Amino acid sequence: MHKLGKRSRVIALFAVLLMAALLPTGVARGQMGPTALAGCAEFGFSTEEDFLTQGPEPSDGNPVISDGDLLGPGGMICARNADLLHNTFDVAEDLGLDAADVLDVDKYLVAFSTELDSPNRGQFTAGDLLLTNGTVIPNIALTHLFGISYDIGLDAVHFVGTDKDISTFLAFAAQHDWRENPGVLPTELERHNVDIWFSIEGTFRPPVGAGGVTILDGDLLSAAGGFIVAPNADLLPLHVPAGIPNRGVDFGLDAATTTRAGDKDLIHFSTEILYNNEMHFTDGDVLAYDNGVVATNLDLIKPFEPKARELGLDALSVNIPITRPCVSRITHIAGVPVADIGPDGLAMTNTVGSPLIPAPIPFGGEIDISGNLCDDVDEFRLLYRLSGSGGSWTSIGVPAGLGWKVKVDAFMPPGPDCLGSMVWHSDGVGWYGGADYRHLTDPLLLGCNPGLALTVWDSENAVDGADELYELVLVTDLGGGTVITSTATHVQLDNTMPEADLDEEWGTCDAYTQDDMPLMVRARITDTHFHRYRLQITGDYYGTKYYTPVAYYDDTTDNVIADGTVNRPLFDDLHAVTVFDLAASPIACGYTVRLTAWERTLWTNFSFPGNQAYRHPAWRHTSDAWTFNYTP
Amino acid sequence: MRKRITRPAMALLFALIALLPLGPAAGQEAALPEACQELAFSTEEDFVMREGKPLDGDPYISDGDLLTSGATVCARNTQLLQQFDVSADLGLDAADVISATGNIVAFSTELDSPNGDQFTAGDLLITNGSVIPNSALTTRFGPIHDLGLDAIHFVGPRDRILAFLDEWSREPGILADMLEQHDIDIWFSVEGTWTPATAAGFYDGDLLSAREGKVVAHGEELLPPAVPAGLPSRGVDFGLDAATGTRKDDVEQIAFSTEILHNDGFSFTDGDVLAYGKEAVLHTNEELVKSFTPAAAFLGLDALHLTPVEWLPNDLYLPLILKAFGSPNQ
Repeated sequence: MHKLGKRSRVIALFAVLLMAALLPTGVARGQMGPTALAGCAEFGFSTEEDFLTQGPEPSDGNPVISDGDLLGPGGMICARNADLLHNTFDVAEDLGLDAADVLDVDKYLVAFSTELDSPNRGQFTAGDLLLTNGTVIPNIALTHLFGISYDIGLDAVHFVGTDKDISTFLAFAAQHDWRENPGVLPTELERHNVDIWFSIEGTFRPPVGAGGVTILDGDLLSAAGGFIVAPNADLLPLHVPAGIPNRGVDFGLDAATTTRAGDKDLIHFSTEILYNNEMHFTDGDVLAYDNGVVATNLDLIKPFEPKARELGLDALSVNIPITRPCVSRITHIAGVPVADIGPDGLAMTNTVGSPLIPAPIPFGGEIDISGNLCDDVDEFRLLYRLSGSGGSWTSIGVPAGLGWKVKVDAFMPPGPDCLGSMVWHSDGVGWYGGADYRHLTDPLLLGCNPGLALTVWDSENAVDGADELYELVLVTDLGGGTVITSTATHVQLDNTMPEADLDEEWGTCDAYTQDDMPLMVRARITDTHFHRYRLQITGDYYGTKYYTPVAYYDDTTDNVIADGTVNRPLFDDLHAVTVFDLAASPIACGYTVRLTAWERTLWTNFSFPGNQAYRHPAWRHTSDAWTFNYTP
Repeated sequence: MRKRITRPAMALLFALIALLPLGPAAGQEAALPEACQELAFSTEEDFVMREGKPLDGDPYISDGDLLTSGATVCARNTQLLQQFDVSADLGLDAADVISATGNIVAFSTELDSPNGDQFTAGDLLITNGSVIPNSALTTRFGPIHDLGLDAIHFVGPRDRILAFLDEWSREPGILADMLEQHDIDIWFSVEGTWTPATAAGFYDGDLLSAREGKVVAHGEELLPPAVPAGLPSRGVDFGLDAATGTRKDDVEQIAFSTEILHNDGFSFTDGDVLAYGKEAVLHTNEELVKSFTPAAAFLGLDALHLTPVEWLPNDLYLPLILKAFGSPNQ
């Protein structure tokens, strides 16, 4: 009997697990389940009409494909209409699918519109934009800036913005009843750096004398800006008579998609009507901006092996890869994307911590620096110097003696396994081997350490001080004397612990009675990047009363600011404490007040043997205590 | 003149003024052009006439306008909607010209009314201002949500249809019962599919009867065997975007258009007029629209009203065809 090799067994096991994961679990009748949406991560569409698939058997066993189902490449059904509507909107009927934008398959976020109004009276219309998180954005919110006051239908939709901004907006949108105040949508989109591009079903011709421009249903529109992103005339090549009034015909816009960056020249779309002249396309073909057919309708539907060669195209969602030249660069400092680090070297407000800290954050400790390394790099190293100094650079290397261990394939057992390890290090001046790094990290090269840091910076021992603002660069040697230095990334260090002193007199044990309660605590806190303080009181067997922490940004009148107490080096009042917070009738005893002050620094410990960064945002702290005598 | 006489005279005068027919609004006519009784249609998209102009002088043709032969506009969208106090163009998804001279057209729009719950795109509207709700059309099939309305055709003698519409406008009742009483029917198609677990259901490519609550013609009957039409039997639902025919209860006289094209063997577009069960294109989309001199030869077909004589062989009715597809009227 033939025995599978190790690699084959691993692949087979992976395939079985994958298939098991893809099986719908606990889904209702007529649903594919949430995992099926992954099939549309790159590409999704819907047809104009129902048909019978003769391709891969759908996992729900129903060979009839509805024009309300979201379909993917290779004959996949990513979502039945019920998957989109049933659980969130309590709609059991198939309402068709007129527009779709697959936003996040992991979070099951799809923006879409239906062909029919909701059977639940007043819930939504076919012109509203729906989201699988239950949000309904009314049609008149989308068209608000165009001055259209009635539901004019929705034919195509595409979100523009970074994944993060879109995700933030959608979370906000889910909490908002847009029907109550649809006019705020453009403002909120702008505030979140997001736009919704869309097309409508009808033509809008403003009343004579009312001003404004005619909006065709073949124009691509911006909800945030209230302008035409791409008129129908621009979408189609010059020799197609598209656009009114100049060229003569509105071809409609049945579906539209592009990159999240909103690249106009990468818009892909379909029309409402066919054209059959020197250029030929049907209303089911995928067209590229000003460039004609890039995929026929048959290309899309062929994997389903339908009986007809044309089924129309109603919704289209394409995750268009952006082909850009590879650039070796630093991407993360201690796990923080460099895009989230300002020119002051601080991680921006609300980018670090859980919950996010509403203040800028410095870095400290053993900082892991990650990046993108292109295939042409022979050697690389990281350098730093004081920001703006123009001085000499210092390399950031990791000597072999630190014992940085990375995973590699073990000699035994045979086959790829990542069970072995080796020491990874730079040379004496910080250079690492580019090919070695790629072999350790690239899954395609069976690399066992995806995300391996480019290097680790012992920032406490930075040559010009542990609390300075530095600029870092990645230097890549491509061989043959070609050395490229990346643009600088700024990093503000703060490796100095906060100072916290209670206003106390040494050598004296203060004595208080109940008449002295409560006691105002006075203290002095110093840290360049102070975060918050907390007081506590304890005594006898009463346990500890922890008072609510006070962050510097909570209140402008609490005597603490971004670098400590306001009148340093003098002492300031913090807030009152009392022994009665421990008990109603506390006994005569010694009681202790403790002040703890935290800094904001994102402190990192890097375990070289474990190749693991442990990050602690706003974690380092200092305490001071003061004990007094209390007699009832 | 004594006051006792003056008052009745004034009242009579006001009554006479009130009874005077109002003049047509700008760009509108009280009655539809005669040609609209024979042929009326709408396109899927807007366009501009390259030569000539309709009588109202506006070369812009909306997909909500009802058109006929000879570059004639039967009615602008606003004219169809005049009795509904709607000034926006809501598109035109289905139409049946019951009486051109009486300006009685049954139709549906692409969009819901901007006036609250006045009507939806799935309701059947009459130019006299009455509304037949989508749910009334489908009542005999069971409790169905608004499935949209894609094609409409009244069956029965015209005088009985007009009598029914008059009665409905004054006192709407149970639609199917009223259709039985007047011995007429409304054949229609919907936008969505209805596949209940406990009944036969129907597709948007089926022609339905409002009076009987049954499928008059399935998609596979409308299209010839060479076309894989019909679910689940032949594999594809081609939709039914427009349907028209005689006023007789004879489904084989139906002419129609589909939602999607077919280009394998017997080829047709979704803008062509097809004959029941035959491998025959009665009229290409270009034939319908070319008198309007559009810049494109294909503009789609959303609503269609065509008297049977129109789809007989051209050599038998050449004079009529020449009239129907003549040059612009200006």
